[in-house]
Amino acid sequence: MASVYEQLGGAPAIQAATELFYRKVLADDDLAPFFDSIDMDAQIKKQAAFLTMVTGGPNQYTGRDLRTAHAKVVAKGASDLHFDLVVKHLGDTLKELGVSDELIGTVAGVAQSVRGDVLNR
Amino acid sequence: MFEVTYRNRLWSVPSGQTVLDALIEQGAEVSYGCRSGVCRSCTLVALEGTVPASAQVDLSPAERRQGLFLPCQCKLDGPLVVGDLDARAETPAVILRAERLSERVLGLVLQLERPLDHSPGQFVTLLRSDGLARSYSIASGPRSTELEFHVGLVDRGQMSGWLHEPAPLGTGVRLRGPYGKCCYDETMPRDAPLTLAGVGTGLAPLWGIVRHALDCDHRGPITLYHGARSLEGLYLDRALRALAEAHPQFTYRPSVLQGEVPSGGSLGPLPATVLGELKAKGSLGSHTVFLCGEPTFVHGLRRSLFLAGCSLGRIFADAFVTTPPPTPTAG
Repeated sequence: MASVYEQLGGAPAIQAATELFYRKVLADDDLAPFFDSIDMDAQIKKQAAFLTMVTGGPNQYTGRDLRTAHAKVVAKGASDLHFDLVVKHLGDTLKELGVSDELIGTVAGVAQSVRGDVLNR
Repeated sequence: MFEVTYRNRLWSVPSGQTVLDALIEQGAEVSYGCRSGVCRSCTLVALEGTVPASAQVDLSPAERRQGLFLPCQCKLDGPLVVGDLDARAETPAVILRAERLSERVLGLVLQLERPLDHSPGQFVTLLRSDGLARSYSIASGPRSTELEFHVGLVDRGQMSGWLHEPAPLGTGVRLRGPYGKCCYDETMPRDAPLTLAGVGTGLAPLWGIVRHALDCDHRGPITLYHGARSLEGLYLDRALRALAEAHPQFTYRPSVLQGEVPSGGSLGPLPATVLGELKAKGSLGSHTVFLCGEPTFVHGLRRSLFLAGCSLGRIFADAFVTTPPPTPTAG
C-alpha cells in the first residue's frame, strides 16, 4: 500500500503541508515559546524532515538526531503536554489535506513511537 | 584546535572559534562585515579540506562546488587550506555621484567598468582599496551600468562614515556579487498583487524592485510601504509620489512613528499597518511580499504574515545586519 507520503504527493506536497503544520505550531501559545528563534527557514526544514519521516517518506532521521535536535527544547521544559499538542496539530494538518482518519492514526502512531527520543527519555 | 593555511601561513583555529574570528584575532588582513553569515563580505575559497555545511548554507550550488564558504560561519572539524576569491571575479567601479537624500542617507552612484549581470534588489559587497568591505542593496532599476545605493550613516560606521564625508568622486572601488534572491521574478504572473515594505534604507532594494516590476509591465496592484521615524526620513517621498502619479497600479504608503503624518500615509509601527491592511484586502496567500530593513522588522513581519496565511515561498526578505563598530582594542 502507498505510504501517506506518496498519497499526499511526495516532496512538493510535504512542503505545502509543512507550512500548514508549522503555522499551527507557531500560532499555538503553548508551543510558540519553543520556536522563538528567528530562523524560520531552519525550523521549517526540520519540520519538513519530521513530516517526511512520520508520513513514511524517504528520510535519514535517526533517534539520535531527534534527541540532539530537541535537547534544547527539553531543557526549556518541553513535556508530554507539548508533544501531544504537536501530534494534534499534525493530525489537524493531515485532516485539512484530506487524509483519512485511519491513515492519520497510522501517522500519529509513528509520531508516538519517537516520543521517548524527542523528550530525551 | 585545527590549522588553516592562508596566504602561505599557518593559522591556529581553536575548536569552537570561527575561522574568521581566529584570523582577525591573529592579525590577518581579511575583509569582513556583519560576522553573522548575511553580508558575505568575508567569503573565502577552500582549496583543500572539507568545509562544514554550516559555512555554505546560503550559497548557490555553483558557489559550493567552487569551494566558496563564509569563514564567519565556519567552525572547523579538520585542517583547511583556504585562499582569497579570485580578483577577476570582482567588478571595478568608480564613484560617479554622491547625492544627499536626507541628513543620514546618501544616494551613491557607481559607474561600473564592465556590465554586471544583476537584478534590482540583490546586494553587492563594496570594497574600498584598503580592503574595508560592506554590503549594500542595489537600488537602481534594471539594465543599468550605473548602480545606485542608499547608504545610511551608521554611528561610528567606517564605510558609511567615509562615503558620507563624502568620498571623492572618481575614487575607485571594487564590487563582489551580486548576491541574494530578494528581487522581482520576471516569470511571475503580471497581474499578481505585490506588497513591498521597508524601513530606513530598506527602501533601497524596494525602489529597484518596484521599477523593475513596472519596467516589466507588471499590471497587478503594487503597494510600497516606507517606514521612518518622522517625515524627514521619508527620503524618496517626492520620487515615489511622482511614480504613483505615472503608474495607476502603483500605490505609495509612507508611514511615520512620530510628528506630522504624510499625506496618504499612516502613523504608528509599520508592521501593524502592513499586516492590518493586507488582512483587510484578504487572500493573503496570493500576495508576493518583499520585506527589507533592520532584522527585527523583517523577521517579525515575516513571521506575522506567515501566521496570517502568506506562504513563506512568496515572502522575499532581506534583513540588513549592521556591522558593529570596532572595539578600541581591535583598533
